[in-house]
Amino acid sequence: MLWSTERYVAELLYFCHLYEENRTLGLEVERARQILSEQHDFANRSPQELTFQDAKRELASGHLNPATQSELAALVAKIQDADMPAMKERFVKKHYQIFYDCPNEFTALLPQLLDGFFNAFGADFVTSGSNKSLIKY
Amino acid sequence: MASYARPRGIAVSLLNGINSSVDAGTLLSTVKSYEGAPKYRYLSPNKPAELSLMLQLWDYWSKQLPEVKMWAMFAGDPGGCTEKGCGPGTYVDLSIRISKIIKKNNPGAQIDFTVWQFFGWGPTWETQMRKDSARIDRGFRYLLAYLQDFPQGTIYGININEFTGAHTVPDGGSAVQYIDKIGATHLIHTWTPSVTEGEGWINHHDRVPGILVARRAEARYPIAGGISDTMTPALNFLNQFACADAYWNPDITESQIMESYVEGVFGTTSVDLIRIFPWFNAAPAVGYTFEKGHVWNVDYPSDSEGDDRRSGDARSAAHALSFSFSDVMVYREVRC
Repeated sequence: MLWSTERYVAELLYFCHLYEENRTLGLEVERARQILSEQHDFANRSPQELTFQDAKRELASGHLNPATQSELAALVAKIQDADMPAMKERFVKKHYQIFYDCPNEFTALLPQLLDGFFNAFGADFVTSGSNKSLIKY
Repeated sequence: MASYARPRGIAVSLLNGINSSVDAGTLLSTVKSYEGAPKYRYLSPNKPAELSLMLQLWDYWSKQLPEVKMWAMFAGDPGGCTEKGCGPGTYVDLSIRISKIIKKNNPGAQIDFTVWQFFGWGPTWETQMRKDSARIDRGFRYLLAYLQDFPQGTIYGININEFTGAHTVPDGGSAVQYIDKIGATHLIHTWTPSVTEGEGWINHHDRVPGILVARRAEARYPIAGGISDTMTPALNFLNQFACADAYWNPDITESQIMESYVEGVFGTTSVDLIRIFPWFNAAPAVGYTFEKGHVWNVDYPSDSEGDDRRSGDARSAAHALSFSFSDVMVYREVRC
């Protein structure tokens, strides 16, 4: 019932890693949204509404100055490489897989719990404005 | 669990909604306030067969689990009864009956009556929930009137704030007048949710400062220690440790707790190690069981304030966990 020191430290390390990964993504999303919200096309939208698709459209539009174009392109690449669906999947496998192996009344509610956790770190940016998880298990 | 704990000198408390059920009784999702909730049921005190089943279940389990030292009556969450004729007084009456069944089967057991806002009891709960504060006052007055009917030695779980569901520190409702009256003759412990990680969420958090604020408020009243629920006990050692220390000594400081904690776990009181823990508050704080998460925006800039090594622009916050990660790695090498 009580964990060993080794197991507890390993768990802390896991969470350090997880938060480090999530925060990195969150900061990238925050900066990408900041860049987009400074553009004329998005002046009427709140930063939280701006999505990955908006960023790709803005990059394709040719409206950005070279420095901003370069920065936003780099952010988009990093956000894509972070692979949010895979991050969620790893999280589920570690903590919540039992709800899919043994479905119960909580299983259908799990995606919104996952969104609640990951959206805090900018995951909603890559879910195309949808409140639903991209992934199905 | 109780069999594991008892030989180790740990008393286990069994906490259960007095009329919560799974297969029998009425679906709670038929009650307006629980629409869409998972499929729990309640046994109605108004239906003789269900009342009989409720009492039989307590009789059965209190015979099956003699290792359990403390039997805690819980109003619900979920549970209770919003039917006409049910109210907080019904919860008190049933708890007295159930307490006597438990004591008959386990004379050495300790009864713990937990108020918890008289959660779910009374018709107004269906539409008003906690907003009907008169319902809660009625419950407390009823409890005071029938206090002597509980078995001798019963303890009472009462929070300073039993009116809004928020943490112990008063914020719109206060039960201190009842705490003072009941505490004059009976042992009261707090039942604060200030330690919990939230239902369903799996996160570490550093709640030590908030725990100390709550303890100092509670220490002004006749509250002797407490029980602090947690949904993720294995991840929540620090907060449980802080709570336990502060129950003994409400004047203990955050630094005393942290030094004692990291020394016990890691064998050092290094400041570099201590300052890792607040970073765990980056994640969403508290949620309820699988409900849609509240909007939670990480405040990256302020996360890095007051920390010379990590000060600067917002991005430094993201790097802070890298430092923290390395710190923990170092101490793992030392300790493990």
